[in-house]
Amino acid sequence: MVVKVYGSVKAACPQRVLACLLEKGVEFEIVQVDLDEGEHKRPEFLLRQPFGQVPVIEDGDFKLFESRAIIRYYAAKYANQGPNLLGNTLEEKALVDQWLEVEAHNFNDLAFNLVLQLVILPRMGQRSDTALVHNLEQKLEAVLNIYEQRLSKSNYLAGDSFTLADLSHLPALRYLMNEAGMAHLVTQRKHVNAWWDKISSRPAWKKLASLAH
Amino acid sequence: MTTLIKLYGAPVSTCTARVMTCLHEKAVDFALVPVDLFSCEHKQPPFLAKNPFGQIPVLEDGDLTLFESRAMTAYVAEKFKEAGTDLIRHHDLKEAALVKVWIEVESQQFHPAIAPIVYEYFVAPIQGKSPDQGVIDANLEKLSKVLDVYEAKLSSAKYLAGDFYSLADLHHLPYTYYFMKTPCASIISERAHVKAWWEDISSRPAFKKVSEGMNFGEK
Repeated sequence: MVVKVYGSVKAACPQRVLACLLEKGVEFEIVQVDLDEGEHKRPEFLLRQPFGQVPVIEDGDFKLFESRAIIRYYAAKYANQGPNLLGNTLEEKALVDQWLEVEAHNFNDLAFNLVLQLVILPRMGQRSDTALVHNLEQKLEAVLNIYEQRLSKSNYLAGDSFTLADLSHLPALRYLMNEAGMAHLVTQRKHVNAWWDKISSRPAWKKLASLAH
Repeated sequence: MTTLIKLYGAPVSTCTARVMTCLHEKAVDFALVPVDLFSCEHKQPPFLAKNPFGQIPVLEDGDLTLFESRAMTAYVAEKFKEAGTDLIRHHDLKEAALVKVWIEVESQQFHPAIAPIVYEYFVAPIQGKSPDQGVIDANLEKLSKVLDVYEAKLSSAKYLAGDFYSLADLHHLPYTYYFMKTPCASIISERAHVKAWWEDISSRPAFKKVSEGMNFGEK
């Protein structure tokens, strides 16, 4: 049974899910949702996802939304297939969860709002707020300093293996480093840069990037 | 030999309360180690060695040190899954996944709207600022839309992930508790199913123990 992923291959949150499915070798089919046309805010879509957001997955009768819940489900369901993205022991799993929470609460808002200001608003013909961009950049620098410290002690965020915690960062970091022109945030930090090189050259991510961009 | 879990935090803190409630639901013994927020203990080097983001709480269980309250509750709920209340539905992969969906909803939809409102009413005054009505109004609008979704969901099941109380419901407790003390509480009480759900989850003994210490801003 092929997993249906509702969303766009270019959008960050669907990419989080697609990267996970590719890592685990799970077959999927992308069902395009036209975000530019506002398809995700229309009643038919709201029946699938009441908050009007992508992605949504349909796996037979089973439906899920929230990309970080979806990746946790598939990493658990296919624990014995492909790379172990969750950790083995209870303690390893807790550290994966910890850094997934860091991505969600300490990293994502800053990264998302930078991409909004630098990439999305200009595309919509709107002006970005320079002072806000500067403020966001400073805060993200402080967060990445903590990542630099962490990655000087371990190869990946949760330990010595690639896990969901690292994967979850891929879409936003790619946007920051490319369309948003903020590559220096990564390249100026030795360990963050080495980590980015490793995680972004994984075959699953490269496959997704070639589908998307 | 099992070691006693240590939780570094403060009884008034929402995120500390989140973890304490979970520990009580699982009937797990722990020691609360007070962190002095007013002297900024959490921003200084000894504490930063535990959580480099300078935030409470931190959980220590033997050699394991964790930060991020939602990672802690997930750990406690998993480690003690056979004890106390079943918060994660570990016997059923699909139910477990639905719990995770609504944990993410709290984290990504509910929290970003409610946290700034609680901040304006409780924390800003301590810093000598008056509550920013613009911030409050903007977030009330967002929170109302989220609560409309909750109202619809809770009209077809007793709790967020289904007909069972779970970590997804628990995570909402601390911020909502403070929110209900603000002038904005009506957006909860005017939605019949959300109101009933709130009254149910906030009267659970595990939370009542914790909410006794949640007297932030009270004299």
